[in-house]
Amino acid sequence: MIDATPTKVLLDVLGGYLTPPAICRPLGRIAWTDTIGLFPALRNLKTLNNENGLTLRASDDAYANACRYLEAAGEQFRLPMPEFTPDGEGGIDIEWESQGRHLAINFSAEGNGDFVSWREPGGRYEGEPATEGLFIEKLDWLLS
Amino acid sequence: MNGNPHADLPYSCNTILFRAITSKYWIIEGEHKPKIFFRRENSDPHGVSLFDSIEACKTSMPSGVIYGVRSVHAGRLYDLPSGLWLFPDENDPSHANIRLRNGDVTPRLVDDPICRNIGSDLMSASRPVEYWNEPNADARFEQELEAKREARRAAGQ
Repeated sequence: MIDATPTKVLLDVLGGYLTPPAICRPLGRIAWTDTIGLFPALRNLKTLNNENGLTLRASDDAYANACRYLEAAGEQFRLPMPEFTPDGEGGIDIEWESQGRHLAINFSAEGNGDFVSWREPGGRYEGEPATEGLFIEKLDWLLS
Repeated sequence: MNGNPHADLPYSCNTILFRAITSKYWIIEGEHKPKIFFRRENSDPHGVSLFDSIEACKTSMPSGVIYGVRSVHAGRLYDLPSGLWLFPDENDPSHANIRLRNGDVTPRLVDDPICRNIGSDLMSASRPVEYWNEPNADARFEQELEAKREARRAAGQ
């Protein structure tokens, strides 16, 4: 609730820009990291039309989990723009490439098949079930 | 390995099959992505689907809409490190499935992240067919393929 005095209104407005609330929360305030640029592309995956037997539209679970992971990442890193693609089964796939290194995280439609995958330049992918800690660790590797 | 290593091949090594690209989201800035070859339960229940012609790819979807085609070289597929094989469809001679050599279907992305290696491997064994949407694309493909093979034969003489 906004106090009507001018000073407090100004502080409230500035507070919306100086604190890092997550963009995924319904209040709609801007996240104070470069991840702000990621969320429109992520939200777009919830609007896709399904076709050819593929579930292209992201499920609520996949979207919520992706938000949560990106929000956690945004508190520690300035992330380059990844590729957001539907997995064709209601899930979300997010991929980064930096200096030949590849990092991917996929969020399954039902939230039970999420993996972090990575590969060195010229190498083959390795992967493990996704945890926020693993994701942060691999982002650090990607961006180092 | 028996005396004739080619005896058990479902398709000869110089066979070309085709993969239909069924979503525009797996082509980014004109570039095909390995996701084209990820298996999905609804669309590839028995394996990663391939067809024996570009035309069969174009008519494979009830919607009539696909977004591209890749040609897959059988011989290169057999040699991939992912250990893949081709299984003809008993009910449709124009169709085949890519599976693991033991007959198991390849994992989906949500099953196992090695799905990404399978996708990358299949990209290396395939090429985009840039003119897939033209009429008579199959005839053009055959002509160009024969011309390349003739050139290789000539160079080898």
